[in-house]
Amino acid sequence: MSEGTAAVLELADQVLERRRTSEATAVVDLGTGRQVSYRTLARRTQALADLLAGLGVGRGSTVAMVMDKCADSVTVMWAALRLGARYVPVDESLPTARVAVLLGMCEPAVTLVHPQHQGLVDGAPAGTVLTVGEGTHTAGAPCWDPDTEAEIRPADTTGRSPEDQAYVVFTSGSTGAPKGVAISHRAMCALLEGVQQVVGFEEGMRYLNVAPLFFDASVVDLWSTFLVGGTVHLLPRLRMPTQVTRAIEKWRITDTLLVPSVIRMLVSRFSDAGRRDLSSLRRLWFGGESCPVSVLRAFAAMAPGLTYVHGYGPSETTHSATLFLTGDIDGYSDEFLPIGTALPAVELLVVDDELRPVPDGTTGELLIGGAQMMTGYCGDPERTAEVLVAPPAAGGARYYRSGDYVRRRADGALVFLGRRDDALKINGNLVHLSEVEAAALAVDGVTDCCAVPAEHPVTGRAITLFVLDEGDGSGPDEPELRKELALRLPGYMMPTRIEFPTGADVGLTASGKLDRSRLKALANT
Amino acid sequence: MGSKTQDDIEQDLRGVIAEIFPAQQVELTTETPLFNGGLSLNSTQMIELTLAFETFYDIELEPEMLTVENFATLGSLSGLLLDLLEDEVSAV
Repeated sequence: MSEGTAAVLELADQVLERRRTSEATAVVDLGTGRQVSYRTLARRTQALADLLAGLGVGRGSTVAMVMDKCADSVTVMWAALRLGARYVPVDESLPTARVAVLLGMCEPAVTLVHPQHQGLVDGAPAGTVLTVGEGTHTAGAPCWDPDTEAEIRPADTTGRSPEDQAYVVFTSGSTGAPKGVAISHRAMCALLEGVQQVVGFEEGMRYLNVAPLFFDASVVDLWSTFLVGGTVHLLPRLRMPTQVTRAIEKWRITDTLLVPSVIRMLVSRFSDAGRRDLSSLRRLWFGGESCPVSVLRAFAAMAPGLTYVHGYGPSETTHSATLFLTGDIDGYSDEFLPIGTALPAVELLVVDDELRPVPDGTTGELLIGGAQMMTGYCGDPERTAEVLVAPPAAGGARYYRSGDYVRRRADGALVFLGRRDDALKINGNLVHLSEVEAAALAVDGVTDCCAVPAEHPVTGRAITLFVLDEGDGSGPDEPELRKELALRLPGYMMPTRIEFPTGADVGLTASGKLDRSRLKALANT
Repeated sequence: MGSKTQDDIEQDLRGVIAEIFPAQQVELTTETPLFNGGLSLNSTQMIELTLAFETFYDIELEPEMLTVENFATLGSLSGLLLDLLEDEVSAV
């Protein structure tokens, strides 16, 4: 398929196997400044794979990671894949109860954990807990020294199949619980080769990875970089726009992927982007949600001559299903760029409510099929069957129901128009408002609530939550409610504002109930 | 206002943080990290905090000052603000 590589990629870890003797730098850990060559990475991976195999990890197993992002994260991913296991990065900033839910869904044989996050896995269904690092663990508990190396042996791929699962990422569910999206080697390889064909990353590129590893936006950051023998620069959790601008300048970064809320931050007055040398940057990939062209123009003023890659795709179809490339931001008068056209291994249909194709130019729901489609949701065949549908016109082939409304332009590019359900994107994360409401309703004293999208001056979008109690003041106040919600929801799902409408509030019906349609309409004005 | 000590500024910041993050339960000492393991603020909250103390002191930070080093702890942030407020007084 792709030129310049010896064989068609069937297993994702072959991307790294091919380079296992290379002295080129594979990973720069921006948290510590440490650099790791492909060869050292391979030797560490061999040592970890031997350790994991001894703990029973093999084909079909799950290796979970509750770790801060660092170079060792890549060792874990590669070691898991090499053994035929799937890797599962878990957000280490989540509340303990939610970590337990996620681990329970993917049933790890082994969970690797940094000592500072040990409390998150205590008592959780984590399998064997392997502490990363030396000297901080309790005596006798298994640990892994990430600097340990072993002589590289050829990977044993006997019995492995492209249909084996490679990773799991979690996404918000409409029924109030997260879902684990399982992605196969076939899907991951189709993505990597398709992206390379369309985008054409240069050999040896220097990539800045900002997205957390538990966010599947990071899949291209890491694996496309390894595909072309480049260097991926891992930024620790983003706190300040200056982290991004300093990294680009210092490491002469050529490529990066940013979610629109970060690009907004970079063009705001809190960013020094206009005073930094960003001239090494060749390409800006953005995705996760739509980015206003005005924001891209503001960025282009500070970093001229870039190619912009607009990626669109649910986690269920592996990172990106469509791409739109342009170097000409000034040429667009619309508010947003199109989401573009299908990647080579992706099949698209735009359909009506009966899943029948609609004519070009008509609004319909986007169905996404082909090799990048997920295997399914972890341990949830029912919900998998609900979203992987066989439209009558497709001859039995299955497609993922995206829930996204699109329209095909005359030039073939798709335009994103909105959601079928109550989902929205916050900082690139899909959030079902019903999941936020379910968390609030679980709090004692809350009798009704309504979550609505709201404008946010920094990130563009946020959530406002309206809450009712029995009307006798028995419900939680805002600090109490926030504390309870923080135990259940990841940070990006936390409401920015919480309102307690009373009496003659415009958000209440005559009978004192929340007027949902009115609250939503008010939020959108 | 010009004679504020670093302790005064830390106390101001505690008040600002309590006001904009009402659910915050962490006790804020000079060494409490504002990121990992302490307040665990995210990038949006860091900007909300910046806006809040800029309003409080009627100042505007240069973007270069918004670094993870300056915002590491209550102590490092109050040190930065002490310098800024002193500069402002001497410039008048």
